[in-house]
Amino acid sequence: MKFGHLVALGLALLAAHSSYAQDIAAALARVPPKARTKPNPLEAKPSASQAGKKLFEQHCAECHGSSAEGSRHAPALRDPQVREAAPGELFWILTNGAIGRGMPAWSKLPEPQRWQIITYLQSF
Amino acid sequence: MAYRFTSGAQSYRTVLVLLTASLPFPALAQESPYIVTYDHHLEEPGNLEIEYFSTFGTQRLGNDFHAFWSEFEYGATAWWTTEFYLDGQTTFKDSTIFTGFRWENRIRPLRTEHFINPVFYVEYENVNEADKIVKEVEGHDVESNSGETNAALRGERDHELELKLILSKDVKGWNVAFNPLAVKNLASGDPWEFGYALGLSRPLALEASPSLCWLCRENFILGAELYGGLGDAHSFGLRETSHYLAPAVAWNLPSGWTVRVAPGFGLNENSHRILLRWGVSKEFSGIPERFRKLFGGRL
Repeated sequence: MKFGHLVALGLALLAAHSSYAQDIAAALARVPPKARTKPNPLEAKPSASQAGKKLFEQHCAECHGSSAEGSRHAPALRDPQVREAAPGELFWILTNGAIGRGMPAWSKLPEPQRWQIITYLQSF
Repeated sequence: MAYRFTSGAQSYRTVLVLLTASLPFPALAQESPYIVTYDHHLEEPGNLEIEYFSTFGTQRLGNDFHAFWSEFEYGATAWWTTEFYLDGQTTFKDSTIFTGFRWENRIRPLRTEHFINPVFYVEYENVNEADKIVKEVEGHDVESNSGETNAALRGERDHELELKLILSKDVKGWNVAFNPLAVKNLASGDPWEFGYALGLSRPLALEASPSLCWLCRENFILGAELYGGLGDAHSFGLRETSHYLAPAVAWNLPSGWTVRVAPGFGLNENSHRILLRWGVSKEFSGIPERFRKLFGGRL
């Protein structure tokens, strides 16, 4: 690969990362204030993160990558914005999805399973 | 009459099994146990679910039957799921016939979850009168309608428009769904016909276990469905209508397969005494991406 191609690839990845970072910020901004304060009831449960990893691999990895590294379809979730978000914010996004941007609502998963996924995402 | 159960139905199932086996990208499904009722959860975008269902039905004053259909359910977007059906049936001591096709669309108008979540459902059906899958019950559908021979029934073809309003809610692990429906046969001057379906379901466990397992409690979802006809625009109500109650269970396997069983019991003299239903389905993810790769990225 020529140096020019490498630079172009690097710039494209940087642009994609920047765009996804904005996507995450925009999604977090949409969360209603009341939903932000909802605590994660499974935060202290040792097995929650492990179960969340399994659920992530089953339902989320197709778009977000097997290690949450992101793909051309969806942002990386190994992102400080995700790690530092309030659990209630992530729960609201997972429950409602971002229908207009292609992320489905995951309300079909029972609430405890959504909390298990969030516990896993915030364990990175 | 020749008894031709094996040829049509078996080759139909063989084609489906080969088709599902040839798609190597399974996704884990989290399917409800409903066979008639719809909840508000749509297919994930880019996912294709291939389903096969059977209904064994008893028939007074006629021969029992085994109706079967396959569904190809595709998540076009996060707010639109489209689905294509192929229907057939075997009437015992009679024959096996293909009865028609259906094209269904479900559209979610609201972008976030609400107290009750509506989904609009529009379906076009091109089926003949011998269709016995009983995917919904409408108008004055009664058991005696399907008592004649296939030769007598298959001659009349219906072009139907079916509209449903899917209303559904998840609360504390339970799903409650109600589907009022209206059907118009476009090929005749028949009035609009009405019906309903009501469903209730819950997984055996709400938390997932940390390891992959086939028999974990969260893989099993139990429920029940109640469905029936409500007459037509000329005679709305319960007179000369049929109704069914069906306990139902779905088993969502880690391999991406789902098995459903729902024995339905007729609730009045106009209903088939038993509609024993079962089905298998498998979900495949990332279909557009696979097609793009197949055509060298040119799509």
